[in-house]
Amino acid sequence: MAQLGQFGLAMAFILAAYAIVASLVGIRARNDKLIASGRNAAICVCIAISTAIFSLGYLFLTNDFSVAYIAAHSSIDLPLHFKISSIWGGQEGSLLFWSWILTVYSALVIAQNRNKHRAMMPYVTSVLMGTSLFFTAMHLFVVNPFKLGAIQMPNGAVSLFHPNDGAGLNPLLQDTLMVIHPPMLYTGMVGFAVPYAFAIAALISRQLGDTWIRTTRRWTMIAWGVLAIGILLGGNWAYHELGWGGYWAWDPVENASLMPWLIGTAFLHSVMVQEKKGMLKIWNVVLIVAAYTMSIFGTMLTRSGLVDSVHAFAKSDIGGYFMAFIVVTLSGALYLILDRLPYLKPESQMGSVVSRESSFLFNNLVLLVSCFAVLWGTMFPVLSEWYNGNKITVGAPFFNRVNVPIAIFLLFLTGVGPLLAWRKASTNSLKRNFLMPAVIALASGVPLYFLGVRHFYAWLSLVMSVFVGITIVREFYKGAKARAYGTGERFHEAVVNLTLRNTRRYGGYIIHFGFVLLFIGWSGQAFSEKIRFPESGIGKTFNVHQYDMRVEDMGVRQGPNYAAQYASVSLYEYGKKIAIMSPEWRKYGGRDQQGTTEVAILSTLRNDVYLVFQGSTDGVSGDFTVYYNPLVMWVWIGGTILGIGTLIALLPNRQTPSKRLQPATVKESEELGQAV
Amino acid sequence: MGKRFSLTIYKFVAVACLVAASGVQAADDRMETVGQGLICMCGCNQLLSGCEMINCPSAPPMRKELKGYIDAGKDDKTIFATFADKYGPKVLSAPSTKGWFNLSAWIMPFAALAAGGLVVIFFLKRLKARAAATPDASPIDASKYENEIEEELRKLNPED
Repeated sequence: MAQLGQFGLAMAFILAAYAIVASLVGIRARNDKLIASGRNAAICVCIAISTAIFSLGYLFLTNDFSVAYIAAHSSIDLPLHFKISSIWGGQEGSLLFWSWILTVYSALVIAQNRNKHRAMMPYVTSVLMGTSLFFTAMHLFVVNPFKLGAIQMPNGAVSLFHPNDGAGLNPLLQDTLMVIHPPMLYTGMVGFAVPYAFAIAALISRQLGDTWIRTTRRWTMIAWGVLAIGILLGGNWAYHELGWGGYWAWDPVENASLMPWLIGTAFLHSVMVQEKKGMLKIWNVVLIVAAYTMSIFGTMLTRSGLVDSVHAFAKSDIGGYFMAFIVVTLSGALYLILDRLPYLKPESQMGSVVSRESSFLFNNLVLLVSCFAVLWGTMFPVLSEWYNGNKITVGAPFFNRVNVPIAIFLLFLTGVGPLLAWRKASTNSLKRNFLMPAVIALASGVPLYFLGVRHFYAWLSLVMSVFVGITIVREFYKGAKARAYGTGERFHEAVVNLTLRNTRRYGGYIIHFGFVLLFIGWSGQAFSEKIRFPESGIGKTFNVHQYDMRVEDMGVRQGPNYAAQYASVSLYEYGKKIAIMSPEWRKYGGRDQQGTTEVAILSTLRNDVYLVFQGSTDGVSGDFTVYYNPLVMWVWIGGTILGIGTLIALLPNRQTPSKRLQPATVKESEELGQAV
Repeated sequence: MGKRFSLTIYKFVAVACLVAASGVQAADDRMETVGQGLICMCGCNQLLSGCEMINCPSAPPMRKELKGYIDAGKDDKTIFATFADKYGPKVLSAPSTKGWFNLSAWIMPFAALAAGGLVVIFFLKRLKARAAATPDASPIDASKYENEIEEELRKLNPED
């Protein structure tokens, strides 16, 4: 089966190279058959890489430890679902998985547009296959997942090695979320390759209208939304698996996924200006090139060991190859942009500084500065080492101090931007749209202060959340009220139909509302508390805020591939027993003999009680740490709403029949509601 | 007299316990806040206060060392300097503000924001000037339409 996988990789390499050549020669020679052949080859690359990835999966399932990658990342007793997730548990497999997602995207996009955009598609195929070719070359020549295990004999000869059992998967990766989180992250990051390919194709073919943007809008949304959910799932994994009480530590690997997402967010906003006003054409191309480059850079950062990270489960010398690829693709894109500047002139002009266009520009500025701050902080240790030989650490305190004010300003723009009119907003409309939400938000700041929210940024974030929340709810209310009046629908029906008739706009508002909830959750971090209770035996009680905890039991149990020490702790709120918490300390066999904590969390809308058990040395007492984390659940709720909003924004607009008025009149009444 | 004396002693002991307890709490809080300014040196890249790695070779001795400095009454600045001397600057969780290079870590993001802001404003002004110079691209008098929309909506929605 390893040979079959190897064959798949070799075929993918040859076919990707052929697809590039056939597409480029085909479009030059205006030879449709050659173009179609290139297109089919690109689809076959997907089949070849699929063969490789399924072969790798099969090798994991059958415990074929003759393959070095399987021996290093699996073991006989590893549960089935973790054997599947082991495919992306290490360097070689995760890069192969990256490639596979790229080829699936490529095949779908190429098949979807096989009879459209005839001038652009051969270039799209070439760009996508160019990336595939790079990754396939990496699999074949640098990080081959099908390499057989080998050891060096005392006489210097190298002999094949087939161990009876593998080293097992890193215990931190033996978590159900790790089955979902990396695929989502990769799907998101790789997804930016599609709009990038179309942007480059548009530049080459000089078709720089908004066709490439309209064609890739949904693909970009999918990539963006999936990446957002992937990042949040990673945060959830860190929260319940790493045992330090938080979900975001500004770790370089976390930052690597955040950077393309930030640029992708800027891109999704600025393309609206191009679609509506024919402006920002250069800017949009620059943004998508940057988003794609950041995806590749993030992959390099995660996998090369360039920076220290608690999440870097794979390190190798692939950094140089990736850097060379980034330099080549970036140089090519910049050359094309400069060469095609005459085709990228705006079709209309900005009317006023106070307009939706300019608010989107400021939104883009803030997102890019935020991305720059993350990149700067992430790379500063490397820069300092180059500059003076001292590796200066840049940890969470730096990122929080720099990014929190920027993020709050962004939240403010989230509330303001969508309510400004295109071209020019009048003073009257500003007053009408913003006076009431601003007054209510400021008024809410007073009770928040007296309720104990004295941390400035947390207070500001909550006040701003109220402001943005009201502006969004008001938009729905006004639109639905006008629709209900115009159609005779009940209010809740009007809300649903209003949303389904303009999914992009109202899906966007729902996404914004998800962000408001995320900010509320993040604000709670300012009030997190941590208390250690060392050497606590059975019967010991401890108190945190309104909660009392009593250690009821401690013991040992055997899992499928680990031994666990567990504690059973009763949790009382205001003296009433509400839960039994069962944190564990696990020690896995095989690899590293590493111990991990399995925390117990009681989540409510108000706060989380987060209990860590660090094990017992004498069997009668153990070390506990309790975290009191306010508002964390709002982060997960916000993430869910963000996902729902993304799904709604992906739906096509629905035409709903009217009960009272003709469709045109319904639309007019909705637009009136939105306008006013 | 004896009873009152005993009561006074009890009160004194109780107050002393509370003060001592609050002192312990304050020391714990300081461990937490100062610990957030330091990085665990085991390679996990986590804050010293946040590293919960089982059998971590660095966090417990570093915490013990930190507790010793806090108990000895050293201020935060001295503690950070002592750790930096011992482990090198990478033990600090954020760059210091000494020297232009370290300072640049803090300044660059905000300098980028300011520079970007200026570019956007310049861009907007230029576009606006270009729009003003083009007669057919002059801004529409939106207020007239807004008033009409307002009027129409009032007709549609008489209760407002």
